[in-house]
Amino acid sequence: MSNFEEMRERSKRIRNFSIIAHIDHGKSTIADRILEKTKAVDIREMKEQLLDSMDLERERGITIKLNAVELTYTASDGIEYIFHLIDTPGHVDFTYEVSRSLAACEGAVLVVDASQGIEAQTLANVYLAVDNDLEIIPLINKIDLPAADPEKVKKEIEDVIGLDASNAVLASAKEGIGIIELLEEVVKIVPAPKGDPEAPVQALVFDSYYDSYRGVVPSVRIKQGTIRKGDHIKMLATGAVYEVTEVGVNTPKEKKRDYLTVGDVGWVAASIKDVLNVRVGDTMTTLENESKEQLPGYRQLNSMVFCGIYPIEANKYDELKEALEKLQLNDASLTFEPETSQALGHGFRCGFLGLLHMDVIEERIEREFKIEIIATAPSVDYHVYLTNGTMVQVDNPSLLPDMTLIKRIEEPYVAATIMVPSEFVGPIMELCQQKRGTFTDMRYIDQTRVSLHYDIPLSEIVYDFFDRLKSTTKGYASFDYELAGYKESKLVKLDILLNGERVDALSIIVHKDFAYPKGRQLVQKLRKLIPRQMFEVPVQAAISNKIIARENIAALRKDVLAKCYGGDVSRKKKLLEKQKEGKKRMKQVGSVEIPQSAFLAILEIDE
Amino acid sequence: MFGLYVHIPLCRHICAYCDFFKMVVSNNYQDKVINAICRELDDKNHLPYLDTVYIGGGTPSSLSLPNLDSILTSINNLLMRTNHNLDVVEYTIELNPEDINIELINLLKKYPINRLSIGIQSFNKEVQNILGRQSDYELIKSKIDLLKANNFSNINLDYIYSVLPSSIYTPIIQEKDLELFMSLKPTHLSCYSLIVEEKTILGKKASTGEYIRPNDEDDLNQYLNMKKILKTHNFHQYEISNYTSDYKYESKHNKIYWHNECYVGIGPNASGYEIIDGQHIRYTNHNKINEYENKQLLENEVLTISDIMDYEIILGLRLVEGIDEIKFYEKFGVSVCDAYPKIKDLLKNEIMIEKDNYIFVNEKHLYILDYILKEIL
Repeated sequence: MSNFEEMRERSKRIRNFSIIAHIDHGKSTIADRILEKTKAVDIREMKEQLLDSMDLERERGITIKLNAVELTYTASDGIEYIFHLIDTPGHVDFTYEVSRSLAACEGAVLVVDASQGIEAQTLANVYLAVDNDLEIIPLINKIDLPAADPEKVKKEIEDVIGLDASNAVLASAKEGIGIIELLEEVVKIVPAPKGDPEAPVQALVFDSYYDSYRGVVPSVRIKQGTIRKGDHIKMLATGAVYEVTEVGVNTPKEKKRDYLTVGDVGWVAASIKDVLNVRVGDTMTTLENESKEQLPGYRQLNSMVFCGIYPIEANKYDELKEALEKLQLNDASLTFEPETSQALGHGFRCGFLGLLHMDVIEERIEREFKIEIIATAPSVDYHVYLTNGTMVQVDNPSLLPDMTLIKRIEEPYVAATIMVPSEFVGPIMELCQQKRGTFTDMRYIDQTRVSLHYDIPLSEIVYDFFDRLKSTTKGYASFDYELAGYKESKLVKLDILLNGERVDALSIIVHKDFAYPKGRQLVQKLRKLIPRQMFEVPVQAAISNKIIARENIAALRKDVLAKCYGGDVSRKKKLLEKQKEGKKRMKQVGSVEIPQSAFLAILEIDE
Repeated sequence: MFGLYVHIPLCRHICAYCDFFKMVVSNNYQDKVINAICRELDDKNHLPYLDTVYIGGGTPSSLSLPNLDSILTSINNLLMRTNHNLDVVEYTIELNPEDINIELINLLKKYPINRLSIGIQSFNKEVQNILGRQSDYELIKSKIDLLKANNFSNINLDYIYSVLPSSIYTPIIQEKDLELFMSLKPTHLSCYSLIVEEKTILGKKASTGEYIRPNDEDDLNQYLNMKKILKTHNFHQYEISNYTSDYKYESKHNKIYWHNECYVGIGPNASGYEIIDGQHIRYTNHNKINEYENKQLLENEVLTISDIMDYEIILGLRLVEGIDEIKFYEKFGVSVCDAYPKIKDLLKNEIMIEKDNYIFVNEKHLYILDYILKEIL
């Protein structure tokens, strides 16, 4: 089938859609059921929740990487339709990726739990879908549960989002109820893709993955034109050009094709070595039928959260570098550059889209690459305006210039949306206040639930905001944020001294009004986290060389085996070796040994 | 130096804190165990000259007199094979105070035993209750007098501290306790901070909270107080847990361990360290009687040069005098500091001291020896 008429005919039968849902509301189960009903996967072969393929994702119940599958479905009208189901990551850190994968669709299924209702994350993604002009099919899931209240949820969808929910699909993915109804709705409601297969090529890059044989493989949605094997593709944002070696789709097994055309969602292999040339949101065209025009919505992603990552064993530096490079191949939003800390030696300053992204990367380094690391407390990117009129960006607190050289410091703020049962409004407001938040709005979703809006410094969120939010609301709050620009704040650098020596990796930037209590809490926490040493070790907090808090780690009292005779000798040596293993996880800073946990002490301060 | 250690894994009563390998004595079983130990002793050939003998346990004095006689006879026969006489520099047997009587003494006198080690642990009733031991001072005094009257004058006593917090076992109570020990005029004291081992009665009580260990602060204070009191009796520390008034009473057998020298271990679960066919081997006999009878081992570790050096450090630094640097160099062809460069840092901040070709841990820091060892190794 290579003539354009056939392509046009075919594209009429294509339906591209995503599923939008809050964690636990059943997205993966619905995806699984769709795969079953469309016979994409042999049921016996099917693993639970097939689309989430990384272990870590499954453990955390989240989707990190996007995936797309091509499915065929014969509808009640007798026509065989081609579905592209595009998965979206379900976490706040990946908002931009979500928006790009939504931009690859014409429709979205909005999944809402029949007993829990809409959550902040869902709301954010629905707005993204609306922004991308998607048709939205509401689906109320878990209707089989005793606490299900579909009518209430329908009303909520109408009141909060402003969507007509009268035709919402009532489903129980677990029981297989409502899936056929959903597929019929997709055929009926989601529009077929528009675009001319003969027009200049425009394909939206919404993801990429790394394959050790074929290099970086972008996932694309063809908006117009046709990409064939042998074509020369060009990335409009980066200008990079490659020759296409293969194109294809996932069903979910990989399937090669001769070309990808309007409405297709597939992959393009072109021996791309550098992941930085394949940016999510970029437009791919071909030299053979070149479009000069970029698809709307492209944005270069900036890291929001930064931290230092150091190998515990100095000789693992190269391995760590390699690990970061490999992770970056699959994840262009991870940035890193070498940095050196007096305390921790050689390592990397890494940039992430958010906290979860940071956690996931740190965990993958330890788990997949088996490198033990020390991560410093996360920081944000400060804009520091100097008295000489220049501005420097500081993402490592220990590098903040001397206060006498600073005119002012601006820090990133986020617009936060917190949805919570109304009885928690008081505690949440208190928490946001403590976190230097500015109240912007409060709306009642229904009689029992409220959505609160605050502007909060991102630095406050990266510390312990999530945990505090969870504990304050017994886990009932849901939370979403987006960057809202930079604002001036009275900020100072808080240094920590151990045994009189400044430990650069423990420095943090804090608001001046909070510096004293933070300093006190931090030294108290460190006193508990750092084990006793041979000498008494003072722990001090200082602002611009002025000591504001001090605690002492008492000297070690006792560490000796009373008896060591003939029968104890071997056991003794083994015990020492075992204990020494444990010591390896500590970092020697000057004359003091510091456990990993100490570098994250700031995250564990209870206020 | 080369030592012989004979382990008698039998007791009449199991103490709450003891984690040595031992079984409660029953007659048939005792005979079986003693026969097996005697057989092992009798089968030993090609041993080098035995400088020291140590019979420990368990409780060697809990044996029936005929059984004890058998063991002692087998040791005599072994000495005749290795040394061609019965002169041993130091020959120690551990005794329980309750077992001491004239019959036992008369038996011991038939053999070249010249040192006794008596487990008292404490005269304080509250401490005794926790340890599961009873030792009446007057009774013990009469027994020790009896030993002395029979020319057994080189006597070690075992003392245990850090059983109770200092709020109960106050410095004054501790002093009274130790003064009772000293009034018995021992030549040597072994002073142990109580180790609560998991698989002991006390360990179980500690895991349920029924028994609460004194904190490290109290432990240190009791240790320092003890050293102070012993000093007034001219007893000085020569090893982490061992004190004497005179160099000649330092335990020669135990110093074989700390000098990383060889010894043969006899009896179920006994450990030894021997050079066999040029290989340095640390081994432990099996602890199950049937396996032991079949000469099975529980552990058998062939040492590398670096293992041997590690042991030299681990053991040698327990001694207050430390490690003889010249001997170390002669043995390994490398200096202590070159083999363990971290020691240089420790010397710099006086955690360790180097003097007259000896390298040792500053007495002030001996109490954290394990920590220091973890730095060095």
